[in-house]
Formats: sequence, C-alpha cells, structure tokens
Amino acid sequence: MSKTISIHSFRGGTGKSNTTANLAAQVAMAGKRVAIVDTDIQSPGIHVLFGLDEKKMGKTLNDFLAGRCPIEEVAFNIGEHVGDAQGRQALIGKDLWLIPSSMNSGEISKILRDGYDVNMMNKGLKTLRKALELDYLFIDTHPGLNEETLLSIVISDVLIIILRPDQQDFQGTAVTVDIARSLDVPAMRLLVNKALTRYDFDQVRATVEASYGVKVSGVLPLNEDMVDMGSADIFSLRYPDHPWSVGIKGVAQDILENL
Amino acid sequence: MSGVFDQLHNQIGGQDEDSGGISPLDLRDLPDNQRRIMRMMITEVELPYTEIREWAEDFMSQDDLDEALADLVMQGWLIRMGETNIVYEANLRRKAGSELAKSVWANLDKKIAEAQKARDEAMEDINNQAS
Repeated sequence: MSKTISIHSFRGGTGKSNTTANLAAQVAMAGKRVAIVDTDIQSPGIHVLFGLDEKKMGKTLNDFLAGRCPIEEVAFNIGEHVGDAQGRQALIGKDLWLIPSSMNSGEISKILRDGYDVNMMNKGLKTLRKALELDYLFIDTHPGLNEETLLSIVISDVLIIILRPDQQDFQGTAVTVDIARSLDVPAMRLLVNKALTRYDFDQVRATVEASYGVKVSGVLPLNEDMVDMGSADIFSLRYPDHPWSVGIKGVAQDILENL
Repeated sequence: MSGVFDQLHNQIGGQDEDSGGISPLDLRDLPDNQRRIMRMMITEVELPYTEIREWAEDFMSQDDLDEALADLVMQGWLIRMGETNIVYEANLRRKAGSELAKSVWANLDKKIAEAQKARDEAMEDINNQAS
C-alpha cells in the first residue's frame, strides 16, 4: 500500500524543494516506485532540480486541473529522461516520476485568478498512487498554511516539517505542529536544515525534540556546496559522501524502515 | 476590493455557484468520530457504504456511523450517491480565486501575452541570426 509523504515548512527558504527532490531520489535509489507532486502552484521550482524547464516538462498539474488531460499524462518519467547532470545519471532506469506545476506566467495567473477544484486535485493524487503503483508519493508544498498544505497534511501518512535553527522558524513550526496534531496526522518528523557546523548537532536534535515532542529525523548542515550547485543537480547523488548527503540518506532510511 | 463592474456582474447573477464543501482546516472543529470519518474519506475520496461500515466496525456502532454520515451529508461535507448501492464522496471546497477586480486580471493577462510574444519574437531573431 502506498504511503503519502508531505514535505512542509512554515517559512520559505528552508530547503524544502531540494530536500524533497533528494529524499525522493534516495528512496527511488532503494528500488521503490516514487512520485513527486509539485503543489506549489504559485511558485513552482522542484522541476529545475531534475533538469526541466517550461519547454521540456510537457503537461503540468495546471493542465490536469483545467481538465485538459488526465493526471497520468502529467507524470514525467525522470528515470527515462535524466538529462546531462552527473548526479542524475544514477537515476537512469529508476522508477521516479515528477508531476510538475507550470512555469508559464499565463497559467500561474489563471489559476491564481480562477482558483481550482480541490476535489479534482484530491482525486488526481489518488489516481496517481494507483496508476503508477507507487510505493511513495512525495508532496512538495508551498510554504506556510494554505489550501494545498492543509490538504496534503490531511491525506498524508507522514508529514516532514523542515525548519532552520532560527526563531522565526521555531515559532512557525510550533503552529504547524499544532495544526498537524489537530488533523490527526499519523506520523510526523522534524528536519533541521542549514544548521551551522559549529553547533552541536546532537544538542540541536535533543532540544528540538524536547520542544515539540516530535522526533527529529535529521540535522543537516548549512551547505555552501549546494548553494554553489544552484539547483542544477540532485546534490546527494552528485556528492554522496558529503555530510549533508549522509544526513539526507539517514532521513530516507528513517522513511523506509520506520514510517 | 472589487470594482463597480464586478459588483454589477455579481448582481446580474454572474457569481460562481457556491458548491459548499469543507476546507481541511474545518476538520479540527468536528467531533472525534466525524473527524475520523472525514479524514479517511478525504484520503480515499469516494467509498461505498459497505466499505465504510467495514472500516468503522471495530470502533463505531452502525447506528453511530449512520448518524455521523447523515450529519456530514447534511453539512455538505459528504455527498451521498445512489439509492441501493450507496456511495459517499468527500466534498472539498473549491479553492477560491483572487478577489482583485476582473479588470486588473484582464490587464495582467494582456501584459503577460504581450511579454510572451515579445520574448518569442526575440528568440526567433536570435535563432535566425545564429543560422
């Protein structure tokens, strides 16, 4: 039976899309059938990590929500179109799909203006799980609390909340944890990203777990090498021994073994 | 803030039909049983009554289940379909569009189309020069 995992953060800039892409890639590398849905309709971006742009991505979630195609036609098979990036070569032949949102300004404007049928979005996600015989469906969300985030929280088996060791993120995460608990999310994890290397990561983990009463699946370092890469590749596949990559593989292992 | 033309449009019956339905955040205010049902129904989208009853049999009596389902249908959160083989469907509220005046959007659409046309023409010039 497939599991739905939502990746969320209260604020932007926490590394959500990079984390989602890397986690999904690592789970696909473990031989699982994995799809990622970019529900960040107003500011899509995860497709860039897989080498896609407006021209290459073909059909999008926007096309599905507008009734122009079934959702199966939107699923872009990453394993068959990895592009040139070195890290992504490892995904050749893997069962990994991306359901992207449109980068076309007219499409974004249209959906902001007209809204969309949330029932249709929800049915589409269910259809995807079945049609692609997924083991895992990752949902990349827009930061903060909004319709898409709340829907993803309700339908998810696992909610992973990403935060930076920063007071704004701490307060916002408390709000999200509170709401997730009230919506009876079956499982929750926190992922601390962009932690300064001079911090005691064990201490960070212990403090965050004690503060929220939620298990921390990883404390990842601030990663200048990732910034330098500029979303051109999947970092943990390009640099598998980097401390950040080791950390993200630990989170993937937690998903595979415990959740 | 909507403009005068939007108000006139709404007065002559141009507003979108309100399909009702819930927002996921509404779940928080439901009694435990109903929240549990709705959470499952939002995930499953649509289920026959027989499967819902099978799912609930370990923690809810049939009477309680039927009462909860009837209540959720009355509130517009579930849609009940069929007479003999009854099926229930979760009814999520449509995500509303912007409340900006329609004229603002019309202007934005026009500017976007102009910008895209200019970009396409520039790309064509570059490609022609390259060849």
